[in-house]
Formats: sequence, structure tokens, C-alpha cells
Amino acid sequence: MDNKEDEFLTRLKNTFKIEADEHVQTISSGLLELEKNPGLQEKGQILETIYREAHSLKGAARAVSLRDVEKVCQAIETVLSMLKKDEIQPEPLTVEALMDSIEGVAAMISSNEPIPTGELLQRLSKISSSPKGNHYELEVVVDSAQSNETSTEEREINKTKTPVSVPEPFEGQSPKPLQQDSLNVSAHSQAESRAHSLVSAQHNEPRRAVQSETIRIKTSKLDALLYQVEEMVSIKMASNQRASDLRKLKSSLDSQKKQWLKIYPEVRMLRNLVESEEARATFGPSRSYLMKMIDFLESNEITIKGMEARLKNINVMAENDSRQAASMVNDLLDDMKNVLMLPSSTLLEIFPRLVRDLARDQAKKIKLTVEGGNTEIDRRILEDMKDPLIHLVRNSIDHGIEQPSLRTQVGKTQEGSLTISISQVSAKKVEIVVADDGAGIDIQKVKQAALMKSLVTEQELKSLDPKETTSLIFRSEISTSPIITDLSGRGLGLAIVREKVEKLGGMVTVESNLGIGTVFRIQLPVTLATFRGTLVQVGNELFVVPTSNVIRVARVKRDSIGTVENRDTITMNGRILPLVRLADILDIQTDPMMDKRSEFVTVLILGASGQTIAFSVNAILNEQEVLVKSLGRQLSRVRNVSAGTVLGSGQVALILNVSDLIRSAMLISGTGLITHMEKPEDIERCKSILVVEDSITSRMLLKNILESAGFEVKTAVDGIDAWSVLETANFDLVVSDVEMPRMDGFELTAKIRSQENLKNLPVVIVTSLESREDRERGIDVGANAYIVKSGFEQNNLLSVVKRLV
Amino acid sequence: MDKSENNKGATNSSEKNAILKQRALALAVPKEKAQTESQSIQVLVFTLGTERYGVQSETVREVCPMRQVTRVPCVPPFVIGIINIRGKIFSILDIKRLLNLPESRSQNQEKVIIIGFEDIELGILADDVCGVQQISVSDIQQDVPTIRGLTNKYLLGITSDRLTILNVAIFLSDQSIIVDETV
Repeated sequence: MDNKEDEFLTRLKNTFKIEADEHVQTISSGLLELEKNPGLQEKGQILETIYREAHSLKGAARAVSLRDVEKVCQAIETVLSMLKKDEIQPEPLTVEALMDSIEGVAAMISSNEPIPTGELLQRLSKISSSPKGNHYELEVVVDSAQSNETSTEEREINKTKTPVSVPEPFEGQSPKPLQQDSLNVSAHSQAESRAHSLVSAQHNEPRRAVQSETIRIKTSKLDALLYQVEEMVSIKMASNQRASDLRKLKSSLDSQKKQWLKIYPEVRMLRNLVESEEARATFGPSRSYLMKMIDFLESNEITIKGMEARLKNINVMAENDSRQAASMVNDLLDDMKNVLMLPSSTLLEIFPRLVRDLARDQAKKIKLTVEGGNTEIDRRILEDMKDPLIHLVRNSIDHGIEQPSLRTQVGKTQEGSLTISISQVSAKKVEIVVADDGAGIDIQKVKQAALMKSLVTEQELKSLDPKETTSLIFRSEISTSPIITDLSGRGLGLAIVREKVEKLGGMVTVESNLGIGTVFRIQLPVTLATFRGTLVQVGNELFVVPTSNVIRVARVKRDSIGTVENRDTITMNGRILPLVRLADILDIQTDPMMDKRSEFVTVLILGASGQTIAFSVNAILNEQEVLVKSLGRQLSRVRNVSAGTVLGSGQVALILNVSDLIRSAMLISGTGLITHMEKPEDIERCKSILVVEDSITSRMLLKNILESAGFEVKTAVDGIDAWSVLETANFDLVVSDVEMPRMDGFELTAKIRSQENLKNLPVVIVTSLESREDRERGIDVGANAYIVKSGFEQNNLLSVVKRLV
Repeated sequence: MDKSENNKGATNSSEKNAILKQRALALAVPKEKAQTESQSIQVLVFTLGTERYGVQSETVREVCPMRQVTRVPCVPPFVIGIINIRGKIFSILDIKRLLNLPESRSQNQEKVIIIGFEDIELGILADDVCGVQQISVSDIQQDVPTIRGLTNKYLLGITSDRLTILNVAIFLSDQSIIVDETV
């Protein structure tokens, strides 16, 4: 029994956590709004909402006997009720205390452990017990009010400067301006009236809880429903197939009928002939056989006529059914997708807090404007967009918006502005804009970095317009540091943003004006569901390539394939493209004789992340709509594969990940594939290093560090991969991670040491393992250096590497 | 149940009835080891090669005949491929390989057992599925010194009639069966 009760309590607590999360989220968003000094009416609404939320939270906490949470909520409620009654004002310190308290509550709930609440309670009770505190802090208030006023003025200038055109918020709803409401009564009217006209629409939905008729359903249940509805698509396709089969059957019957009509006169003549008197003598006994045959032919015709009529009926019905099924399934699927749509505010509501914290950490002043929380987007897209958006916002704050002092120097307002807006651009597309009025991206530096990495040639650079040049920052190879600021990580991060967006079937672009600001635009489909895929055959297997990545398909003559440095290449539109067999990348056995037999090679030219590579396949079958399906947790991420889909035949096919394919192709043929053609031969061979690392982030990081120090770097994903690379090329040094699949760094080192021609090759082990045993083991197996990642600095690594080579 | 049908074959219907009755009686005898629910667990029994294995019924989502499987490139060899069951894709693992059992092909139609624990669901390939069995907890021996390696890692216990019961929770929580690789 005890057990059951415990179980119940655990379940209850879990439910409470979900509920509490929502309350906490709403309360803290409300507090943030409050911090922005809203107008009187707005303030009332906000206070009402958070007061109600705090009250519910308190009640819920009591139900699961979390006394501490309850107590803090009680204290919060007291302060809020005083605020409501206008007994005290929402001064920064008060809001801060409320904020900290609600944060404390969140921490208590998520950690399940008691957290000392004394200090929080004290702060809250101090506010509620001493209305005098108001006057005590009045000076501070006046100050902040003044700075508010000036910043409002500056915003005016700023607003006209910002290169972002901010779309009007959701139609049909007049934007609710959350005016800058100053606390200081004298400044109040002035600031308010100005703010009214200037700051249109911040959060255009001030926490007015939309109380509509809703029920709560587990997402897993909805997903199960979606799967079933999606499965109906194959029924739709099958029914379509049956109808067309019947149509074919009928047309073959029609042609049979034509033949019968052609031959019918002959049959009639034959009958007359056989029935005539003289035939008795001519045919003898076989006359009766002939008669039977003619009878049969004629009765056959009658049967066929009957069948034809029935077939015609069935055919019409099947077509009707198929049409009906199609429209029902389509409607059902559309409705189902609608069910899965959530207002994007669920994604946006994390940002006010995030921006506030980041800005505070970096001592920057930032005003965040969030728009379009009403736009509905598929839940799965919202989930997948969370990280990329956080990344872009972080970027804007880290690298974009300048320090207040610097901003004043260049004639901008102290307070930087950051806008995140989501708007529906068409029935099936939404656009997310992340815009700041910060320093912008220095195109010259991007160019330099791109040249340095040999991603482009001088000539190519000249042909690129500024926008295209700026887009180079999405290339993962662009070393991050030379661009804009000294904070690294930007290049790779943007590459990941791009990959995620492209995976969702969207695209991301950037516009930037040096000194004025940067705008990232992400276009996304509203629903995941279907996209166009190209069905290709490799060996005997079928794969789907997202059509958005297919630049073109072609058949090239086998003898037109040239080799450069032993690698196959083809010429397409005057450009030399590397040619890689898709079967090699996917480890699929194909009959080499089959390959050689044909005079032509079928080629799929794929592009992703700004790279273009040609892949040879056995056949390109067709282009069709495909439905993306996850491969499940066990296959969390498979190299070169992004998801699965079910073809019309019911067969499962894999959807290939084009970014991965291109990276794999580069690994197979070494780096700098596209450019090694145009690259001038290095006269002096630079020292080459093999980086062995399974995590892509660390691998790119190491590669970047070493390449910018002038080394030639090749990469391998684990020990086995490294070993095969070592067998084919010479290196001056190996940098290896420890923990890797298949063969770890220690094994690799030991293997290198055991090989006669490699035993003197320096090996640097870079790892997160900081135990003494591991260090000793590293030395035991013969590593020359052991660098722990936690204390891992660029200079440290470089000095070690330089010493060893 | 089939009496009426048997009666149609008039000649030796009484004989048939006798046989059927005998069988019914044999089946009706309660298994000696069938116990009350609290002291026993329900196990789905299947065969791998010549041996019998079991997984707790509550971890089994579904059993179905093996169907056309799509091979997945760039995964470890223990992943046989993926199949589609009612619109959802499941990966199928070669449990024989994971348990280091000798490879063998089944004479019968192979079966896929979909097992799940928390947020992970996948299929394992069994040579045949024998059915569900109640097993007394007291009959499960937990430490068998001769069983080592992976079987031991995933072992829940062994019964007196040599049924090896696997611990699905441990098996599915094992990070080494998860494929999570980037290029």
C-alpha cells in the first residue's frame, strides 16, 4: 500500500512540476514586463495575471505538501497584492526581489530539495512591511526614470536607423503599446506620451491569459495519432494505385474488344460457311467441333461484354473512392497538423529572460522587442528552432551590440535594440527575423578569413556581391576569430544554425551593414510533414535526397571524367567538381562490372553549406513527396542519414543528410577538395597534422586552431579511421582524443608505437579525462604530450605542437 | 469448440472427440508453478538458436513477423535495419550478436519483438516466439557464475528450466547500443 501511495505522490509531483513550470514562466515573463515600466492599464493587467498565477502556484504547492514553496509564494502574493493596491510601486529593487524569489521557487521545484528560503522571505517581508521603503529608494527611482527618458529620446533616432523593417504585428489586433511608464510622476506624462508614439508593439500580447476551451493532451498521444494519420497517406496512395490498375485493365479489355470487332466478320462468315450444306461434306465430323468453337467465341463475347460493364462500374467506383479517400486523408492530415501547431510565443517567451541575463552579464544595455507570438508553427519545428535562435540572439549580444560607452561614441543610443519577430509570409511559410543595431559584420574581415582558408579565390570573391560575401560566415571553415570580435565559436555555430534550418526545409540569410546592424532572416515551413525528395538507387537500395539540396542531375560520359591528384572530377558549367561514388560513402557493395558497363555515369550534384560535390549513383528514379519519419531513439544520429520515410509501396527508405554526405566526401578525398584545383602549389611543404577526434565541434576547433597556426590539417573520426589515414599519408604529428568509438586514443597511440615506420611519430593526447591514472596510461602507451581539455588553451596546445614538430 | 466440425467427419468422430477431450484435459491442468501474481512475473519467451530467452511482458509493446527490412548504412553491425509498423519506424537489433551467440538462421518465420523502456523503443529479432509464461520470483536465480560478458550485463536471472530472462531496462539504458555519430 505504502508503495502505491508513494507512487501516487511521485506522479502527483511530476504533474505539479509541469504545472508549476508554466506558472513560473508566466510570472517571470510578467515581472519582466513590469520591469519595462508599462502604462497604468497594462501594469494593472500584468499584476492581475501574475497575482493569479502566484496564487494558483501556492495552492498547487500546498497540494503536494511543498511547504517552503508555499511560504515563498505566500510572501510573493503579499507583495503583489500591495502592488496591485498601489500601496507600493514596482521599483527595480522590488521587481528584482520578486524575480529572485520566483527563481528560488523554480529551483526548489526542479531540484526537489529544500533550499534556504530565509533570505528571500526576509527581503519580501521587508518590502511588504515598510511602505517607507518607497521613499527611501526614491533617489534611485528618479535616476532610472531620467535615464529612461533619455533613452526613449535616443530610441527615436535609433529607430529610424535600424535597417530592420519591422512587420506589423498580427493583423486584426491593434498593437498594444507597452509604453515606457516612468515612475517619477513629473517625468511621467512626458515620457509616456513620447513612448506612446515611438515604441509600437513590444510584446504585443501582455500576459493576458487566453482562456479558451482547451484540454491538455499528452504529446505522445498526439504523436501516435499523427503516425496513424500519416499512415493513411499510404492507403491513399495504394487506393490511387488500384484505381489506375483498374483503368489499365479496362483499356487492355478495350483493345481486346477492338480485335474482336476486327475479327467478327470473319467469324460470321465462318459460321455461315460451316452451317451451309456443302460444309457437311467438306468438313465431315470436324464440322461439329468447329460449330462448338464458334458458339464458344460468340458466347465469350457476351461474357466479356458483361464483364466489361461490371469492370466499368468498379472502375468508376474505385476512382470515386480513391478521390474521396484522397480528399479525406488530406483534410485529416491538414487538421492533424493544425492540432500540432503551437503559437510561437511558446518559443519566444524564453528570450526576454535570456536577453536580460546576458545583457546584465556583459554590462550592455539592450532593449528586446519580441513580435508575432501568435503565429502558429508546428511544435516540432518550434522545438528544433530553439537552439539556433538562442545561438543567434547570443551572437547578437556577444558580438553585435556594443558596450554602451562605445555606442555613445559612434553616435548610437546607449541602449542597443534587438528584435525577434516571427511573421507568416505565406500560407505555408513563416519568417523569423533576428535583428540588432550593433556593429555589424565586417565584410573585409570575412573576405580575408575566406581567402586564408582558401574557401574562395580572389577572382571568385570579386564576383560575389556583398550579401553573398556576408553569407560566407555560414561556412564552418571560416575561422571565427578574425571576424568581428575576438570571441571565437561564431563560425561553427552559424554553420550549425544553417544545418538545422536546412534540415527543417528552410533557409537562412544574413544582411549586415558595418556599424549599423545585422539582420538574420530564417524562412521556415509552417509544418514539417512533407517535402520534395529525389529517389535515387545505389546498388540495390533506394534513398531519398531532399530536392532542395539537389543542384542538378546529369548523365556524364564515362570518358569525360578526369582525375586530379588521383581523384575523379567532372566539369559542370566550366567548374571542376569532385566526383564521389555515393556507394563508397554509404558503404554499399556494388557490382563493379555493372558500373563499368554503361557508357554514361548518372550524377547527382548536391550542395549544402556552400559546398558542391557530384555524387555518382546507379539510377535516379523520380521526384516525389516524402513524409519525414524519425528513426527512433536508438538511431539518434546516423552518419549521412537524417531520417526515414515510407514510400508508396510501403517500403521504408532512408533520407540522406546532404551536409553529412559532403563532409564524408571531403574526408574520403581529403580536405580542400573543391579548391585544391585553384590553389597554388605550396613550394615549401608545411608540416601536416592528423587530428583524431569524434566530436565534430572539438574537431573543427582543433582544426581551426592548428590551421590558423599554419599547419596542414587532416581529420579522422576515431582510431580506426585514423589508422587507415596514417597508412596512406605521412604526417608530422598526431593530435588525438581519448574517448572515441571503435578505437580509443590510447589504443591508437599504442598501435602507432608498435609500427616500425611510425614509432617516432609524435602523438599529443587531448582529453577531458583528468585522472592521474589516465595521464600515466597516456605516458605508458607512448604519447609525447597529454593536454587536458579543461585547462586547454590554444597557446598551450600550439606551443606543445610546435615543440614536437 | 470444433466439435461440430469434427462430427461432420462421421466415421470416427467419437474417436476424435476422445482425443480432443484428452487434450483439453491435459491443457486444463494448472501448471504446477503457476503462482499468484504478487510472487511471479510474466515473461514473453522466445528462442535464439537452440536456447530459450525471456523478457518481462510489460516491456513488450508488440510482436510481429519479420518483414521487409531496410538496411541502414553507416551503423554498427548489430543494427539489422529498420521496419515500418503502422507508420512508425523501428530499428531492429541483432540480439544474437549483442549477446555473442553463434549466428544461425531460423527455420521458421523470424519474429520481431518490439520492446520499450522509457523513451526508447526498438525491435529485437527472435527465431521464434513461444508465448507468455508466469514465472515465480523464487524460481529465478540471479547469479550464475558461468555466464559472463554481455549476457551477464543484461541478465535478470535464470530459471530452473534454463530460461534466460533478460533485463530490458538495463539493455535499453545501455548507451553503447545507441547510435549517435556525426561525420
